[in-house]
Amino acid sequence: MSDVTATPASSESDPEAGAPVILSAKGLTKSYKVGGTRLEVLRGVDIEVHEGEILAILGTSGCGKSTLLHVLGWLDSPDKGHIQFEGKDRGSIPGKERARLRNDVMGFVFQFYHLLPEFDALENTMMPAMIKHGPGAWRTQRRASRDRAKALLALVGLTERMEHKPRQLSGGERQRVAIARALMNEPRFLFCDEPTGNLDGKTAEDVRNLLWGLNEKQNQTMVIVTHDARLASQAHRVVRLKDGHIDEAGGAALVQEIDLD
Amino acid sequence: MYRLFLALRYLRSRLVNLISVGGVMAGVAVLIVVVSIMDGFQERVRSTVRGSLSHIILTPTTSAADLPPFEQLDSLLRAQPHIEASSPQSNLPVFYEFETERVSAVGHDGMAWHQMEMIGVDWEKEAGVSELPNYILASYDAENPFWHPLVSQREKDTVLVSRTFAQNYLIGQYDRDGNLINRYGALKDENNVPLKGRELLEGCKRLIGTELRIWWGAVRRSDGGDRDIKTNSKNLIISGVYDALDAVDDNRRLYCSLPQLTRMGGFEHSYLQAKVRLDDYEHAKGVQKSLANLLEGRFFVETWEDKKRMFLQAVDSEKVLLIVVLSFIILLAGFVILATLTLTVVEKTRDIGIVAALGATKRGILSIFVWNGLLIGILGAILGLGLGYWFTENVDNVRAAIKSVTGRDVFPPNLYHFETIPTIWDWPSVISIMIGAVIVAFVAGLLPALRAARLDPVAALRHE
Ligand SMILES: Nc1ncnc2c1ncn2[C@@H]1O[C@H](COP(=O)(O)OP(=O)(O)OP(=O)(O)O)[C@@H](O)[C@H]1O
Ligand SMILES: [Mg+2]
Repeated sequence: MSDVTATPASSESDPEAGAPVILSAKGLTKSYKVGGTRLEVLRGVDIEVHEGEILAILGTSGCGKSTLLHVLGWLDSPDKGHIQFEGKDRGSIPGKERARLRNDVMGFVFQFYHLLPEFDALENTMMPAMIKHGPGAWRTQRRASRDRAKALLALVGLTERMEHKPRQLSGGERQRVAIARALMNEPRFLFCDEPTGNLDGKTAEDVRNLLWGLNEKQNQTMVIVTHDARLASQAHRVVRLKDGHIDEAGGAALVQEIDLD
Repeated sequence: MYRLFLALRYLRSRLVNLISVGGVMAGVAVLIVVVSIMDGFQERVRSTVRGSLSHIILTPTTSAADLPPFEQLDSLLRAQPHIEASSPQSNLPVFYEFETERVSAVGHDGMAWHQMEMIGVDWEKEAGVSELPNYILASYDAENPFWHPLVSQREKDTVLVSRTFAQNYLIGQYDRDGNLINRYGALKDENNVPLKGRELLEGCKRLIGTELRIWWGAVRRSDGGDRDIKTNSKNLIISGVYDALDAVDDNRRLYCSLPQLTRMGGFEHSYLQAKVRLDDYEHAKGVQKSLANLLEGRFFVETWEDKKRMFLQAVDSEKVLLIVVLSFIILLAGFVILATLTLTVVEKTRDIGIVAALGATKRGILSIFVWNGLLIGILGAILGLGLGYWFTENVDNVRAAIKSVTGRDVFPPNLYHFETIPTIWDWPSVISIMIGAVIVAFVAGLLPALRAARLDPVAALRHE
């Protein structure tokens, strides 16, 4: 087991080290059965995220980053281990309440955007709000949600694309819609899976500025999964996922390693 | 909120859903139309059958000596609760003799027999128990359609014939001036088409006063009490024409006065039946019971439905059968919904994963697809209601349109004897048909919906 209270791994000092732990996982394992063999993706992951922190998880392709993020975001269940979110244990929370937390408290930016193809950018962005409010509440919330969705799309630079369906958007534009959607319900916790993976240097920089700005202005907590060492290097803390384990200290080293390449 | 929103969008974005909606619509419309027509038909049939039958029928079981005079029975009956009127009747099987080119049972001298029933009634009392007085098309004497001036002149008896019988059997009839009326049958024109309206009434007038020949067997008892049946024949004067709108029975029924029939048949009993009318047919079963007690076995007591049970059951089971068969259209539409929604769920697996990831509960996902099915059902049912209503309202126009296109009359009046197709708009049936369709759509949507709700969100997200 690695030491969960390790010193800040980032070259920057971690301003949130003293903040309360908002998400903690212990001994997470996850394996997939493919054909006759068992593929062990996570082999005992321990991780803690503090409030207001930007944590980057760095790893090579196929090492299980997305899997870990899904488990941390309560979307997927671990084979073994415990996850606590704001002190609540995943195992002890009924499915309905889990769904509510995912909707209201956690925001997800998926690696493959996962937008609904039948709905335009604005509707996709509003979807979490629609899911949050029942038909009664929606009447009063509709206008505010619409305005917020428009503002978020403006924030990610898509004012001109609000009525476009996903198939009419470029990969980068879809990714930005996905970010806007993740922010819709003002989540306390943001999970980002390769948020700049499909963006060119300039747009990637814009997205990074957007996310970091949220952290600065609203103290937004984020876990960012990436194989982009440059992005990772700007996080408050970087850990490395390797062989199914979290290497706390290895993160910074890796950043430098990759930087040198 | 998203449930209905997603359901509507999926509904709209898939053209096959229109097929499901169309299927439900067709099923609902067809069922509504058929139930309306069958209800109308049943009602019409019931009223025509009852028209000549009255609510309750008493048949004496005693000898003529013990049979109470009808006036006595009448006052006894009318003292009972729910009984409004009663009337006597006797029946006599007769043969009507007519000319034909074909060889018949009677021989090969150009004559044939048509078996009929001669019914003797008391005209004054008949109005109290049956619809017959309302069915008189024409008569010599409006007060008494059994009377004709020739009766006294030539010591003849009279008969009331039906329009149907006249058209089908009074072939080669000569009017009173000796002119052939029509070689195709009375009350028809030169093209063998039944007369209508004014022309029909004119035809009736021409027919009244002409004669027809019948044969019958009259019972005679010798002094020793042995029974003997003697064959009689006689020409009767047509004193009137009725139309009870009953294709089958009208062809076989002749009416005359009760005393005439008693005389012709040589009956010892002055009446062979007592017909009873109630204030409301609802009470028939109760009155039947109390009359059976009251009359202590001297009369056999039946309701008109007892008499026509087989026939009414046949009409009813025909209706039920038709409804069952046609319900399969809705069931079929249900299977189309099931199939298309199952495909939609497979196709939308990734979307299901996405909304689950965004915090939709299993119930929420379930209701997206249940709503999808329900919307198809509700839309189909409402459209079906509109179509069915339009069709029911315009059924005779539709029938005319079909006739002009195909040249066939789907509802030939000479078969059913209704000029227009009878319909009854019964909201409870209509609403239960619609609810049935919505339930089918709901169940059809439920299975794919359960499947969608059971999907693992992460696996669904990875679905290509
Ligand atoms: N449902 C599954 N069934 C079988 N194997 C799976 C399944 N999901 C993931 N895997 C395997 O688990 C491993 C980790 O997958 P994961 O998507 O977490 O990788 P990743 O680190 O996010 O990769 P990338 O950087 O390419 O996105 C991969 O080798 C993948 O093949
Ligand atoms: Mg990944």
